Amino acid sequence: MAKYILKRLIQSFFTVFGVMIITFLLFNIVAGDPSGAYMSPKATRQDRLDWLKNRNIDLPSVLNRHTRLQFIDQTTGSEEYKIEDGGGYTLNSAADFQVIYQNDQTLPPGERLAKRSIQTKRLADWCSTMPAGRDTKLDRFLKNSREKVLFRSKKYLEKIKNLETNPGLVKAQQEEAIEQATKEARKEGTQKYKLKKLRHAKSAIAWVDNNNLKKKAAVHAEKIFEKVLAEQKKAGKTEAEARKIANVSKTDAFLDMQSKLTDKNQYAQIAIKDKAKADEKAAEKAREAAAVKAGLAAWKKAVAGVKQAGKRTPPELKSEESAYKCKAYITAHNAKLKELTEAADKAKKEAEAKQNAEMLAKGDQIDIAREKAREIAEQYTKAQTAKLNAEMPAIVNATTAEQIKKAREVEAKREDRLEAIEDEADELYVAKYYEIVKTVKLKDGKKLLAKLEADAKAEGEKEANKAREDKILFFKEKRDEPGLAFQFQNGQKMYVSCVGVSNWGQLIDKINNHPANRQKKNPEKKLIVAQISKWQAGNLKYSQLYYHMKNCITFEGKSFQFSKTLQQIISERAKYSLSLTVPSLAVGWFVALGLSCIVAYYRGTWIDHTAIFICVIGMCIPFLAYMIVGQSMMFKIAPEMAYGVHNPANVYIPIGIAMIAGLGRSVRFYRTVILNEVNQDYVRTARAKGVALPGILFKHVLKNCMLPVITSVVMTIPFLIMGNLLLEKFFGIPGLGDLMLGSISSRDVPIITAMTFLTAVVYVVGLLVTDILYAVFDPRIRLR
Amino acid sequence: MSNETNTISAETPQVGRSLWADACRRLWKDKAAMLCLLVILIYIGIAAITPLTFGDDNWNTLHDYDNSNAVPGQSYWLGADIFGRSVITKTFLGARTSLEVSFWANMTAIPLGMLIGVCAGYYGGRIDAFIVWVFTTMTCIPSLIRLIAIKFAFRELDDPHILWGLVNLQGLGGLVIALSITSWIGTCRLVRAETMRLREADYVMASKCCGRGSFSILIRHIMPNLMHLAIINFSLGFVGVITAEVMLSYLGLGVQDAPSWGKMINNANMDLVVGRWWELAAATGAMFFIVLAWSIFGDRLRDALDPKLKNV
Repeated sequence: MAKYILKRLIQSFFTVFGVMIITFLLFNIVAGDPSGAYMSPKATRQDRLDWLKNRNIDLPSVLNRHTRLQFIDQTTGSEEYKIEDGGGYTLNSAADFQVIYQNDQTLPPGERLAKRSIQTKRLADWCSTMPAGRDTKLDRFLKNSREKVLFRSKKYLEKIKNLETNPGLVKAQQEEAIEQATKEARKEGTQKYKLKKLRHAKSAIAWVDNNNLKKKAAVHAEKIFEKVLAEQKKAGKTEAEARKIANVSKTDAFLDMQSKLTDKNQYAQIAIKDKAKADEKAAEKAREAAAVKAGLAAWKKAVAGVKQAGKRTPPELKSEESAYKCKAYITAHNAKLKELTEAADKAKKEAEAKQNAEMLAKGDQIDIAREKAREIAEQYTKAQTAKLNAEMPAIVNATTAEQIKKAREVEAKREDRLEAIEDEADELYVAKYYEIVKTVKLKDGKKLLAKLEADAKAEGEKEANKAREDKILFFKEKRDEPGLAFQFQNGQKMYVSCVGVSNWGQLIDKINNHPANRQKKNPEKKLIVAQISKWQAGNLKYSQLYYHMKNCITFEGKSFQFSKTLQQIISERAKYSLSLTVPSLAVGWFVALGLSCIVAYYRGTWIDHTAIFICVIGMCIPFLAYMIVGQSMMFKIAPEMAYGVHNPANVYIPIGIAMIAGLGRSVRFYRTVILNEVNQDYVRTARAKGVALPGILFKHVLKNCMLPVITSVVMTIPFLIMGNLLLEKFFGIPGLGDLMLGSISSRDVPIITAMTFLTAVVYVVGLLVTDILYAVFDPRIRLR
Repeated sequence: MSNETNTISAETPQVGRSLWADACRRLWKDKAAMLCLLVILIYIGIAAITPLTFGDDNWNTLHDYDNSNAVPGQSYWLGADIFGRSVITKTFLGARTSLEVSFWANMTAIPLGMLIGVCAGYYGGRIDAFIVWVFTTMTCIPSLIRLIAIKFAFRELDDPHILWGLVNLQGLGGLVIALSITSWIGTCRLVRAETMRLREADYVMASKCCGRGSFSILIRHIMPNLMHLAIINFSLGFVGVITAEVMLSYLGLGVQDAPSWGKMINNANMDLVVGRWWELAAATGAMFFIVLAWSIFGDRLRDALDPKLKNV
């Protein structure tokens, strides 16, 4: 039994999965972009994209295909410019580069590409305004990373773009706002840049450190090797044997030495000492200052007391002795204060030492160097800022327009200068950092460092050259249409319009077959070749299918029109549907079964014939007619009871209609089933025994008829949840059926998806229950 | 009914008479079936002739506001609708739409169901498992909801033209495809079961032993033995498809630019309360008779073609 149920459950799981797939195919693949129905015609493309993005329907449908558009510059040969594009469309066939845009069909890829190149240009523009650093690999790397960091701050780029295109702003306001956004972006970029710098410096130091240690260990191992070799030779071994033994001891020595050297505690101890010294000094100074301050305060108080005492002349303070008493008290107080401060300092020191030990145990001794460097950099920044404030104070009380203008100019200059100071401080920081690290740790690694720097310089030059070449490919042209502009090293230019390009394939085609895409000297050769260089499946989690399945299972998707989750909507509305369908189903079932028993009892007589005739007629009359006629009749009798749910009695009419409309079909079906049973042998036996006919019918036959009857009842179970679709709509009952039909006209895809899925799941569960009930009603059936 | 059975079984079939001839003879003798066939033929005739009576006039632009909602009488036998168009003509045009849709839907669904069912039943194994999975999944969604979902998806299409612009998924073609996607399953199920039975039959085995290919066996031996199922399903399929078409048109998901019974019923939603019964009555009556005729004819056809199924 349990095995069978498990088997059926697994089958049901596959079926439910299939339903998910079908709903996904229908509503996410076949049906197009639903944003049109919910956005006003004035909505910009960005609005629509945002709308889609909020609902996760701009994602690629199943797999996030990742590709790279590659331009090969034929004039220089091997240089490439690549544009990575992570998903958003699927590759149909790799052979013809046919790319279909899944998320936004209104935005052709060419335009998107053009947009991107403009972005790049903008970034390149203001990256060039930054102060140039030393030309080393590190700086090159850092600059690159700065660009990368900024490139990622899309938020600001979008903000700036929005501001530029916003017609509601006056130009001055617009400029001001843009300036503001740019400032913010720069600030953020610089912060991120700093972090990156630190990280890189750390890794560089670690690398150098490591190399140095290895070298040391190697030198030590070499010494050991020679020593052992000499010893072994002396002992009278052959050359080869001696070498073998020496090699073993060499390796051991190397590993030993390396592990010794990499023991970061050596450096940690040095750093702890330094730190402790500095702390001690600082604490002593602070203590002295505090004591002086406290002593002064006490002295003042005492003097004031003495003075007051002189005025008021209380007996104790008149004498000189009392004044001395006072002084003695102050001294004692000071002493106590000193004691307390010392204790506090001790505790603080201990805590710091503990912290340091922890930090250093992690091998993070670089932090100390970093802090020192940071202190120096901060001091520098402070000094420079103070200098700047002295040279160029900010104008605060500006009232007239001219003054404001001037104030703004000054402010702008100040900003620039401050930024420059920040950058200088950064550089100083890196330099100092190097210095400190060198003095502390790299006593022997100077040569290595010099070599490293030389290498980095050479590489940096190379990269700088490459970067210069990189910039040739795109240049911005002021045209209204989207397009790509190319500029080549030999001076030739090419402009490819992207109007009417709807996929990457077309774009590639357009670039490759452009009439200007021809070298002047050698017309047979092309200037540039575009192609897709790479494609691969991406993350399944970032696809519409994933979200579809998630929403199917959890019912947490949001309706387009109500901005409520489906859970809320369904729980609100299900009661209306159930109140309509449960009674109609139950009553209808009993009535149909009773009627069919009676009809079967009178089989062959005029009652049977008439009943079947009526049943057939009832089946052939469309359900819609029942509804309309029923409602109009009700409207004539009691108009307030024909529509809506404000009166609970209004539900009776739809229930009645649902019952009567289904009666014909079920009576006919049940009659056939019962008659089929009546011809069985056991009925004859029962009759022969003398059981009365009603007894046979209701006791024996009915029980044996249950199988097909249950099946037919299960068929109606989905509608139990949905309510009767048409009835609910027609009688204004706010149930789930009404919800579904309403969503068709308002194009609410999540609701329709969820309803379809819900009914299917209910049906599957119903089938499962039926199969189990079969065994209950018919012991002949063994569940396998 | 019982009398006819007796007479048929009492007669000894003549030598050389084929199954089809036998079935035709049996049908011919069945008065109810012939009456239903007559009704169906009348409907088909009406559907064919009515559009010809318009000439160049477009039904949708035919407005006559003087006779808006005219009462049934001399000039309008069954009254007029809100635009002053004769309801009787409208009903006839609706018959055309209905028959056209159901004919094409059946013509698509039944070969499709046959093909898939035969493949599933004959080849078995993984193909069978997959096809069974597909139609189990499909049947899990109740048919009306399935239809609504499919039609909804078609309506939301960005480009409804498929098959090189031949089929418009938002027009009649879409309705036909939606209905056939829904109704192939019944045929498929029946055919699959029958094929599984036939696969083990002696003559198929013999043919296999002689070295006939599986495709050839399907065409030569199995398909002809399934033809009666196709014909029965074809006639019985009309009932479901016509009802579904009316339901969809009522919900506004049917054919958009042609009059149909569903739309007529939808128009008559509130008319009955005011006392305008004719549009609803015409549509309902028309639908009633054709559904009745098809279901009785289908039953009788089944009896004639497959006498074994008679008492089931």
